[in-house]
Amino acid sequence: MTEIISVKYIVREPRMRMRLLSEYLLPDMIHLLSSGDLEGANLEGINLTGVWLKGINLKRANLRGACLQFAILSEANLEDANLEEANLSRSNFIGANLSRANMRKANLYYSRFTNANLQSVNLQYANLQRAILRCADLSGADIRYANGEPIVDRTKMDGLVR
Amino acid sequence: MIVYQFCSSINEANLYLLVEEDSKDALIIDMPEWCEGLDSAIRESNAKVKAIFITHSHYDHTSGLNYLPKSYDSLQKYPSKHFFENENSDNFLLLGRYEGKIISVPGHTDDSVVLFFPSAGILFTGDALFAGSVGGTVGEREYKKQQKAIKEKLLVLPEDTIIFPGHGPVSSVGIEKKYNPFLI
Repeated sequence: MTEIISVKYIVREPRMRMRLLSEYLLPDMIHLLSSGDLEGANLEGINLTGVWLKGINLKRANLRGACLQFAILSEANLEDANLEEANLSRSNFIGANLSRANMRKANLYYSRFTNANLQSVNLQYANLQRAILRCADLSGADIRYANGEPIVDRTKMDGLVR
Repeated sequence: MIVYQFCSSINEANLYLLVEEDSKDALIIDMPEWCEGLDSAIRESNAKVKAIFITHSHYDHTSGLNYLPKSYDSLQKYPSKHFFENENSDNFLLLGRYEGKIISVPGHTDDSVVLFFPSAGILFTGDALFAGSVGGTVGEREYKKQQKAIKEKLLVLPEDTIIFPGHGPVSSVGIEKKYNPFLI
């Protein structure tokens, strides 16, 4: 039998800010993330698998080596964030701002960046296989040594460094 | 409600196990393949699996039905064939204290359905609607039918409704209304 990746969600009552909670989170971290503002926070190596972080402010946050598989970061602000070697596979970054983020060696496998701002991001050595970049802005991004075939459709790529 | 999401090796199709916390009544949504992880989740949550819901008849959502453990052979299957004969009949199911509404969203296939739990604010869309995309259609006529069904039946739901799609990550009605390039 092939290994199957799984995530457990706890769906709280509707209209709460964080309704999807990963089983991996400690209560203190849930409280911290619920604030919605983690600008500049050091979250290196954190496991945020499947967590609902829509619209959260992670500007300049350090998420180096973090696991964000299946996480929902749509409309999040990750401007200048450090996502080096982070696992972003199968996650949702729709409409997020990742401009100038460091995503060197990050795993973007099958993640969604539809309408995301990826201007001037560092994607050197990143895994872009099946990453969905539809309508995203990759202007000025550095994709040297990146591997895999992303899905591009109406993607802005002015000044892309290949 | 506890939702377990399994990403299968068959076209990365998602399988879901829903467990209502009070009664432990459970529902499986789609069956690309059975797996040990599913067994563990059922055991861990003391789930009493009552039924299997299939969002549409494509193999990557149904293949596992041929390999169900014996104890699951007799589970009730949703939607019933009556649903397709008359959409006004058999259009809901009960999971503990939650009522799930079955909604027909044809386009990707004629038998595409979604399952909406209004009081939990969650929607299982199969291949009708994904995060940032929609399921492929065989022609223009089906695409138009799909667009109409999604816009009239799904995008009218509360914006904070969480979407659990048949492939890929979770999203919400609000996100899709605002950013899905196939719908704006």
